[in-house]
Amino acid sequence: MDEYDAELSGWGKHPVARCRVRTPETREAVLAALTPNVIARGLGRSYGDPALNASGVVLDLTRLDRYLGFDAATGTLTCEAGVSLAQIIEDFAPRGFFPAITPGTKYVTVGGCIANDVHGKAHHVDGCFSSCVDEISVLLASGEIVRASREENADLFWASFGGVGLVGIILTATLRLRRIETTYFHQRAVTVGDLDELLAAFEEYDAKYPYSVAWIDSLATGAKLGRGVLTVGDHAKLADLPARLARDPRRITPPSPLKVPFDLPSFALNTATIRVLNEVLDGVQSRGAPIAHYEKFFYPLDFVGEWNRGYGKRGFTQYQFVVPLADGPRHIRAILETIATSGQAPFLNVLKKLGKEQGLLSFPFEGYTFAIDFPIRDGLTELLHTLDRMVLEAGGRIYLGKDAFTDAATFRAMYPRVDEWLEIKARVDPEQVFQSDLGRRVGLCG
Amino acid sequence: MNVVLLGATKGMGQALARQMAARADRLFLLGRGASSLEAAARDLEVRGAAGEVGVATCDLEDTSTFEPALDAAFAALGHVDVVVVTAGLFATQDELEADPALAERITRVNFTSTVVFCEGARRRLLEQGGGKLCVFSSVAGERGRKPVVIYGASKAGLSRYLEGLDHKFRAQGLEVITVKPGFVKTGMTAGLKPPPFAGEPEQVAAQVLDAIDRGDPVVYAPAPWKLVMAVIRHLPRGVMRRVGF
Ligand SMILES: Cc1cc2nc3c(=O)[nH]c(=O)nc-3n(C[C@H](O)[C@H](O)[C@H](O)COP(=O)(O)OP(=O)(O)OC[C@H]3O[C@@H](n4cnc5c(N)ncnc54)[C@H](O)[C@@H]3O)c2cc1C
Ligand SMILES: NC(=O)c1ccc[n+]([C@@H]2O[C@H](COP(=O)([O-])OP(=O)(O)OC[C@H]3O[C@@H](n4cnc5c(N)ncnc54)[C@H](OP(=O)(O)O)[C@@H]3O)[C@@H](O)[C@H]2O)c1
Repeated sequence: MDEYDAELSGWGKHPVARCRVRTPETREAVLAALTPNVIARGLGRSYGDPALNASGVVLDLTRLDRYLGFDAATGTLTCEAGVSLAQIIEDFAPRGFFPAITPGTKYVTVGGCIANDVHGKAHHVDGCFSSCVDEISVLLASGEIVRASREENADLFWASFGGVGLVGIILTATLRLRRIETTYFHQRAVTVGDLDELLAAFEEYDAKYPYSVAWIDSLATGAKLGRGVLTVGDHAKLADLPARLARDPRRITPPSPLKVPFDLPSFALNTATIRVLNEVLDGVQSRGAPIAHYEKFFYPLDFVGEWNRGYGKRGFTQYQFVVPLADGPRHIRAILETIATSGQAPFLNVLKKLGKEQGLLSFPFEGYTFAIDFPIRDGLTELLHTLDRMVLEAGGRIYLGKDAFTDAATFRAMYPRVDEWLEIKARVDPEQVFQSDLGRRVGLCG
Repeated sequence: MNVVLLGATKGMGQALARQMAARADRLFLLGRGASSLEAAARDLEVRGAAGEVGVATCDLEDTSTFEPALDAAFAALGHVDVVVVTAGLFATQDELEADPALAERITRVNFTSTVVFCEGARRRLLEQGGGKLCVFSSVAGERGRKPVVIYGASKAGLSRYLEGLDHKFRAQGLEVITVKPGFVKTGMTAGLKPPPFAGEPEQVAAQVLDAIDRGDPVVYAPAPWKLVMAVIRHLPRGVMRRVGF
């Protein structure tokens, strides 16, 4: 079936929109499907509404998934934009290559990684996804297919990273993969009692390890605020592996059979999410086993398939923001206190220190980023708007890959280069062919 | 293994070709779109297909393309172990009832044209002393059923042809493998509500690859459909008339 209607949502299952869906499988089919009021969609792992288009068409590009060329000497892979990182790992890890930059789930497409310019646990060393992309080809509103790189059509190249699908449809990308000796990591977990200890630990360990992230207790307040565990790590070399693992050093694990079987009623929230949390912490705190497989190291949440259903029918959102380093601790404290006393039910707090800013609309800049899950409940919108104000006052911003609530004025104030981006948008898409619910909400399309 | 595939640009044919590439088979692709054939060929090369993956255009809606395409494939590969046909069309019963031209097209592509193509493959395989012919029919061809009256009829005809072919030529070294998929999540079924036992193309491909290696005459895929169809085959007409599936 070339076209059908479907109720779509992001990973947070909120909001939900009825959209006209097309599923082009080839470049020609994408060209044929180009129509006014359209947005591309990958694996729908953004939490909110960037890949929804209530009044229009959504192109599901997950079947646009061919490899077009691979140079083993340089690790350079050219592929269609619907290829997922999971697929790249499965096909290339056994050959000694891994995606150079990966978010906390492998079920994302290359197109989605570009459109949100995703960051990983090594952002302070590697930068955003753009850092591993040499070239893209983009289908513009005019029907023209344009190559873009740092040298050629550089404005289009940079507008596409973080451009949440509103610049054009990314058809192909050329990526540099990372050479690996093993699919394992050596890791270290550092328990911290409060926020000062945690931030000090980031200073100390980020200098020594490329990968770092902290999980913190979202309900701790007062003196205990910020208590949690920082995990750091790096790729394990063959020589680092115990004999048992060295026999199959580039093992890939098949997808887990564990699944949350149906939307849990919201009273099950605690047990369901605690289970997820424990799974995570189990991977994280395995001090007895300093060598971790990439599945546990990068993707602890992928282990439970469809864990998003654990939050119940109303769904959830993830609030992710970054605040500058200077005065960061004070702002973080205030924000965490506000959350802890809000009566909402925050879960899975993740904290990381980000590196340098890139691009026009890419989320990261040098500072502390926090990501907190909230089940959708009455009163949440008000809390999130309060948090938006606090983040803005701190000189920070929120991440569109997770957001479902921020308004246009707040977004504008948070992203100072938005006008540069809008200028490019107006030039390459004057008729506003590419549209999404998120774009209309935050003022990125007309 | 040297394999010629018609319909490997998408869906189950693509999944099957990818698994063949991963085990370093030599492949040659036939299909109607030159550029989607090229993209598929590059994909299979990156995945490990032996040597260069050749392509030739072949459109089931234009029987004059069959002979040159098969000639090109057999010439490029030298000896052909398997010819796989996954190409086919689907439309819902509602669409087919509303559009006689579409009904004519689907029955022609799925039955007449596919038979003509298979005849060309059969002759060449027998000429070189034998080989395997693996063709995708459907569980829809097993019984006359309300949601697939016309599509099912086209596949029923195809299944009978393939069964006869196998009976007649197996002794001469031509092994015919008839694949009868149940509901599989490909572009063909995108947007339709998956019934119980709906399968993934990769799962079907793995099963079909085993069946090709063994030379099984009939494969139901995914496996539970074998049981489901055993029941449906034995339902009395009176029951079939009353149920909705
Ligand atoms: C468990 C989990 C952990 C995560 N961890 C992180 C993390 O650590 N860091 C991080 O940065 N993000 C993280 N994310 C968010 C996720 O990485 C991003 O939202 C990513 O963009 C999702 O990719 P997708 O293929 O699912 O795209 P979708 O969510 O389907 O779409 C995202 C955007 O990409 C656009 N798009 C998709 N394909 C194309 C294309 N071909 N051309 C143009 N535009 C396109 C869409 O229009 C949309 O705007 C996480 C998400 C989950 C569920
Ligand atoms: N999916 C199911 O649930 C299901 C169930 C039972 C049986 N089947 C049968 O299984 C087979 C494969 O199905 P699928 O789901 O994998 O389908 P699919 O994803 O739609 O792929 C169909 C393939 O057939 C090719 N094709 C279509 N028309 C053609 C033509 N005129 N000439 C040459 N090639 C043509 C397509 O090539 P292009 O790239 O040119 O379009 C594509 O490669 C079909 O015979 C189908 O009837 C499917």
